[in-house]
Amino acid sequence: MPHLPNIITSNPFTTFGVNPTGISFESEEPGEKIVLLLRPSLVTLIPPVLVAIFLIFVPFIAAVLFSVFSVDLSSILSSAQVFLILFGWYLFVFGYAFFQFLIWYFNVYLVTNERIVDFDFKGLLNRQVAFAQLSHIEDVTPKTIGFFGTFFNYGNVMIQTAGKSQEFDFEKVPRPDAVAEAILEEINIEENEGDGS
Amino acid sequence: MITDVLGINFSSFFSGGVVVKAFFILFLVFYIVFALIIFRQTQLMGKTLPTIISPFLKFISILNLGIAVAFLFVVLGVF
Repeated sequence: MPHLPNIITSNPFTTFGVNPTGISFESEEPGEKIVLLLRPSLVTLIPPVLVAIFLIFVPFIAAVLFSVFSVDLSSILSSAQVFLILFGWYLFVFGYAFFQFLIWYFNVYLVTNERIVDFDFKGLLNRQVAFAQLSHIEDVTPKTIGFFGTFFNYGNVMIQTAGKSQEFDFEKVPRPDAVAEAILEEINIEENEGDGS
Repeated sequence: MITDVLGINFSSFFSGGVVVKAFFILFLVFYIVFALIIFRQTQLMGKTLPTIISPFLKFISILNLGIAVAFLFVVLGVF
């Protein structure tokens, strides 16, 4: 029985995309089809969004503090300089928000009809892509931890592969149980195809 | 007033915004390096995982880098 709805996802910002369109990857083989596209749950974006909102209001907080402590900025800096400082600050806030978005957007996990692919983009200088054939997968464990994970239904899916390959970890993905079932289903399909040929 | 703190005349120390200018230029140099790495990463990830919005993200990262470089020259000129 299929665990995923037979739909096509065209939303480029999806966190749980079944049969996604408009996406491919560098080493995609002919005939390979992306079955499931996963990103960390949108809930994981809440802390950086809150930080960005706080950073937007920092100049206002600073202005209040300056007035409380009777600091006269106009005696130190011209209005043009104050404007440039504010511009520089908001450029920094934009850079922070854009970087956090990129980390979320490019942390992608793919399940294809041939293998699983893990794109990790965890920092400025930390980028990693890992692949594992479906036939090498030995164990799939969905794990939901904590209040937010339980409440918003997201968690990790740990995938143990055979041989020297490392353990794959789909981190903070939505509906971890459905993801695990979809991977197991693809493994079954792959095995049946192998038996049939 | 800030000039009264500990009897030191801070306004003369800050005159011309020298400290602010030095801090600002240092900040912008670091920011340009940050923007450059973001641009490169966006370019590489766009190649590794092309999506519909990859060109738009690349454009934003170029714009971010361009504004940062232009802003550095403005700060050098105005401050």
